Amino acid sequence: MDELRHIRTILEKFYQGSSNEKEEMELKEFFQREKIPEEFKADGELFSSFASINEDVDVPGDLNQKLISLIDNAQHKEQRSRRINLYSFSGLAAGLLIIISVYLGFLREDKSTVIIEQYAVEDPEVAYLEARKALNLVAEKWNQGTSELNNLGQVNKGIETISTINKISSGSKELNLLGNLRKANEIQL
Amino acid sequence: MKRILIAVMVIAFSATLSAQSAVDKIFNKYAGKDGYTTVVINSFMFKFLSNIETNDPEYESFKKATSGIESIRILTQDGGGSANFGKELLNILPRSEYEELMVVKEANEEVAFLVKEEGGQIVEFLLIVSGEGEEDALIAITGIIDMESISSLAGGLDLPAMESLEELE
Repeated sequence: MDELRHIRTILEKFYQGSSNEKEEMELKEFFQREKIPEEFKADGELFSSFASINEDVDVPGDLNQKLISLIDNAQHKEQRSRRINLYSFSGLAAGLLIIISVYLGFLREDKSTVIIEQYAVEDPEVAYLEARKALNLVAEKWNQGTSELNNLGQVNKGIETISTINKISSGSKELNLLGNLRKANEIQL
Repeated sequence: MKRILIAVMVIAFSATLSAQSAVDKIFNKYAGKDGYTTVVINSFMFKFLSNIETNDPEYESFKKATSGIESIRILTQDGGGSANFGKELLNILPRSEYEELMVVKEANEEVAFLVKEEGGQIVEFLLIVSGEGEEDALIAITGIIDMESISSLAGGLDLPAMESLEELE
């Protein structure tokens, strides 16, 4: 019974992490026995699993490589998630920008139509006069411009006259030919 | 999906922004400033003017010329203001939007006709007079512009019509 009490105290120490190496060896030996008292059965299972871990595990040769690649992957993932954060942030910024510009744009536009409406003529008499005046100015300047084009038309007329002169000269060439014929006739005679 | 949504929103928004034309911007900039006079005649007024009785001999041709017009906006410089008002206007107006139809240059005055086309039809007509800083003017006409009937309007402006207009009221 003394031994059991001793085991109980060092087991407690073991679970609290304050046991020393000697005490742990004692526990190990105790749990390797054939007969383990009922109250320590769970602890026995734990210790026997420890015993199986203690057997040599063969370390694969490329463990180092594998670990490094795992770490690399983890880092990569972290970078990607940071980039995603940036994406969503830029979306947020764009949204804000749109809201601000819509706000500014609509306010401005509203103001502008108000400004223009402010100068709308309400008196039909004045409106008629102003419209007539404006259209008259447009008509006057327009006609002034297009009359210059009419002058171009006159140039065309001039060119036409010149072309009739050309016809005369081609006619006279034919006359020349006739003259040649007559000369030939004279020679024959 | 989110990105597509944002892109669509941006496009839609930029479309609403461009709804304000260059001429609108000019009017916003100069309207009400010292040295400039702004007159706006809108489509409602033209509707009204197409149903009046007057003894202006040119009234019928006026009616014909304005039948498709939505609005006329006039911005004139009356002595004060910028010395190069007309030239400023020509610089502000984007040439990608407005095409030069005709420019008449004289000794101390330059008159430019600009048009904005949409689907092969003139939707905005601008007349810009730029002189030596005196009486520079911008006339902007929107709507369907029938240049032929407008140009026949060059008759005198001694408008005897106003009395009868008053009677109408």
